[in-house]
Amino acid sequence: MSGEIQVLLVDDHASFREPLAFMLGREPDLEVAAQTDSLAGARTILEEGSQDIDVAIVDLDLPDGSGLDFIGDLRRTRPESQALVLSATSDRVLLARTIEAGAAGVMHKSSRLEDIIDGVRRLHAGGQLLSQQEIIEALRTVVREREKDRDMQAAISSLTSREQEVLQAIAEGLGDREISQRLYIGVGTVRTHVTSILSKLGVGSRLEALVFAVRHGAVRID
Amino acid sequence: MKVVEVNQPGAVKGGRRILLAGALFVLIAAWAAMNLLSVGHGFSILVSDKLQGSEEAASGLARMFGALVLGLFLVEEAGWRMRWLAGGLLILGLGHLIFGYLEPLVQNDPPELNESLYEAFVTQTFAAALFLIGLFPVEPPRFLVRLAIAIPLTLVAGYLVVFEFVEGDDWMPALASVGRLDSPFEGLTTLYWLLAAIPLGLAVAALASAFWRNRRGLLRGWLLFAMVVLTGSLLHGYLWPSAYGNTVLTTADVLGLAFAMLVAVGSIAELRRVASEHAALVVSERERIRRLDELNALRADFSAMVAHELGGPISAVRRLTEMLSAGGSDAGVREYVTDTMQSEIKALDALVTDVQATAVIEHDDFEIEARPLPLASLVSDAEAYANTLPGDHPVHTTFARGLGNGERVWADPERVGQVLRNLLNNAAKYSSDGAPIELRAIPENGRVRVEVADHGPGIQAEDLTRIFEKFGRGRDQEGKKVPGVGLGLYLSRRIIQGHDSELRVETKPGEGSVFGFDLKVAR
Repeated sequence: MSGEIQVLLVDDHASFREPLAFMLGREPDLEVAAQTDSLAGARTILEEGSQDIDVAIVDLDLPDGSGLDFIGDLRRTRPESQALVLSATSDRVLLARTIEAGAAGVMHKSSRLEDIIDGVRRLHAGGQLLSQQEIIEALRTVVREREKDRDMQAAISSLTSREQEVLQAIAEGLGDREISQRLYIGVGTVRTHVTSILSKLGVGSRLEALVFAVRHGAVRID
Repeated sequence: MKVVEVNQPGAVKGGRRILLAGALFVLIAAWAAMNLLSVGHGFSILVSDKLQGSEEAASGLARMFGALVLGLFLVEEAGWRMRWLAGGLLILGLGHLIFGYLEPLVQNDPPELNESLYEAFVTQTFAAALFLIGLFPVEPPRFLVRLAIAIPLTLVAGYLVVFEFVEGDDWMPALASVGRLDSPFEGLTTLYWLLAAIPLGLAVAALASAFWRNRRGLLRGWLLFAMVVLTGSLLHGYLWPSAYGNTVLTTADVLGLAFAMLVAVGSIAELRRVASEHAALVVSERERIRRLDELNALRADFSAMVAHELGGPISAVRRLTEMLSAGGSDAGVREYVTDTMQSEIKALDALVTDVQATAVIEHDDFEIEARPLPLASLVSDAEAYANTLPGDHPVHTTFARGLGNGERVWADPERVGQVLRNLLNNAAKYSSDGAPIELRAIPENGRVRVEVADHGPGIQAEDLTRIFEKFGRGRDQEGKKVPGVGLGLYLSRRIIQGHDSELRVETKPGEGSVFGFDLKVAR
């Protein structure tokens, strides 16, 4: 094993990845051990195991999935390797989730080259790119999001099976009369179910209920 | 104060209403004449004090309810005049309640006829003056308004002083020489005829003004009918006075009750209308807020997406310049950087063009300028464009039988051209090199259907709606996100919707996709 820091580059944007590889390769203590443009490619490199990886520079928006999944795989199979996320996204929650998944650093793609190289070196030397405060804040964000999601799921599971059937029928574009015919109930009963659904999901209209249900997988739209 | 007077639609209906109200007044006047000619053989019933009291209380309350509705709910909508009408109703209501119900109740004695006639005179004069101000065709000068209020107020005050404090019953000139009025004309003095003509005259003037206002759509129908019945009641009362507390129920009383009923029903109808308008307003306001929320979320999404899409090429350009400055002495590096930068700038350029087009299309004043356009020129322009696309795709153009050479369609040439170029571009991009692209024009139900078909991998079922959304990109057969910004099909669909049509797609995985829309034929 050489003394150079082995870097894996995962980014589908070749116009970004290739010049970055070129520039990293010019540094005496860095070597771009491998580069790939997809999640599948990155996983293959991991599985082959023939390549040392000290620091993986990972983009999140990959054509066949999210770099987030790869970070999880990397941390599980090679706990000694570090992941540095280089992304153009400004989605706070997504970035927080990458930290939760085990990314040791998060930088914007347009960061200065010196900063990226410095980041790689510091991570390899066991240093920190994120402050304790940043990590705690990220974890809080993820927990908050999960709680929100759990509340939504709880709201959906509070629907009775009849209400779920009515919601599914609304998703299929049926009106009150058609729903009543399908479920063999009165139109008034359908309306009562709809009122109850709106109240349980905390929304103001059928459309909102539908959006809520689709977003949380409570109904199918074919 | 600004007068809010809005013409009501439906002039024919308004004209019919005026005829009906006029006929009703003629009928009431004829009835009064009959009463007069038959010397009291018209309608009259002797009723008990209790029944008379109940009738007075009910009449009073109904009028005051009407006053409340007009004053509270119609002033903002129908203007300041409603305040005067509400005032007139309030005075009439108070008159019935105080003089017809409470006074006899408190005194435990039916009122003196003479006093009752004076009471009726002051309240009716006051109320009729207020009605006239409220209905007068033009806004009356301020001094007239003051006079119209001051005189009746003086009358009311004078009445109270004379009858309550200085025993006016004993010395005031009598309006009737009998104790009870059992028939018209009987026992009424000349002073009565003179005084009672004042409220009647004011009411007739107010009624004429009500017709004038209603004819111009400035007064609600039920108020016109109420004025007809009220004036009719005063006319009947003039000939055969319906004094407060009088135990003879006359035609004037019947018309007075009908007026109270009309006011009550009209007021309830107004309340219902106000309530339903309010409910509709709440619904539309909720909908507006929901749409605004949605719009805000979309805007935030849009900004984030644009920032993300710009971030990619800009970061690449940054890395490329670093590469150039570090390894620029190498011709290979120079060539690589120049080529790659050009393609990144092209991507940025495409993004800016698409975002600009999106901004134009989403602007409220975005318009499709459709005009009759030869179908052949639309198709041949598209075909010429398709032949310039990379990938050596043979372009097969089909002009279905039934379409003449001179066939014309309604289309905005620039916009529909943009749609076709976008569809052809996609067809070339997602098909393997050499795969043919088909461009078809087919007659369909009086319209012409234009289709672009490719022999690419097809679109995955779950992407069929996403690809038409803003920044929505599909995935290829291996599940990889297809390149592009994701605005082209969104823009195309908006343009086609502007042509009263819909951009649709049919696809078979592994076989290809057909995008199509139809255009109206120009005759």
